[in-house]
Amino acid sequence: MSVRGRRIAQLVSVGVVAAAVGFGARSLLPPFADDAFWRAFWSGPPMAGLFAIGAAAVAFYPAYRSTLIARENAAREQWWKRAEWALGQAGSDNQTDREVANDALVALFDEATETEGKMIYRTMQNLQDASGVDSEPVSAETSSRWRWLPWVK
Amino acid sequence: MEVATVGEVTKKASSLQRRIAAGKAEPISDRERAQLQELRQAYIRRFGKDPDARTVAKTA
Repeated sequence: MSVRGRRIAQLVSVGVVAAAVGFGARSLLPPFADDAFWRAFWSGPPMAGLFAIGAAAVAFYPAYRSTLIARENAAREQWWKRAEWALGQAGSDNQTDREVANDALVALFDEATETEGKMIYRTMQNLQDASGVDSEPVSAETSSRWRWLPWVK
Repeated sequence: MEVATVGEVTKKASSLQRRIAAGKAEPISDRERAQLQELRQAYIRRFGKDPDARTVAKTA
């Protein structure tokens, strides 16, 4: 399921649960439940306990979410370190080293974003392409005929 | 150094290609080319685009 789909599913589930809890609570309140037991329940220790659980859940969610984000960031950092190693090896003089690096890059592609995937592909392609790598056209202002000027670098 | 001009961009041989040409590095194997094709196919399958397609710059 895509990230967007998962988010929509989460929102819908939260909405359904909230509606069910709201409906349940409303049906228990007066005049629907004008009963001594329920009055004691809503104003007594059981309700305080439930509120404490609710407050703990509210506090737990941001902490859980930030843990997930931190874990994801750590995984991305690890991914980049492996990709950096493999990209370095992909330009090795040794054929076996390059093949191992390319295998690693193909495996790492599974976790790559579109930009990272294109970067990996282009790097491998440029290394293998005998016709060469694209480079910017040389600026006329910094061409060799102006290099003798002291302010032109 | 091998330099060729294609359109407005200059094509320079990569340092690996220069080292291969100079005999300092081992040539590109068929397996390496197959790995590149495998990556290309994986890219197309996952993102639905050809990674070789050039981005056209918007003008005006």
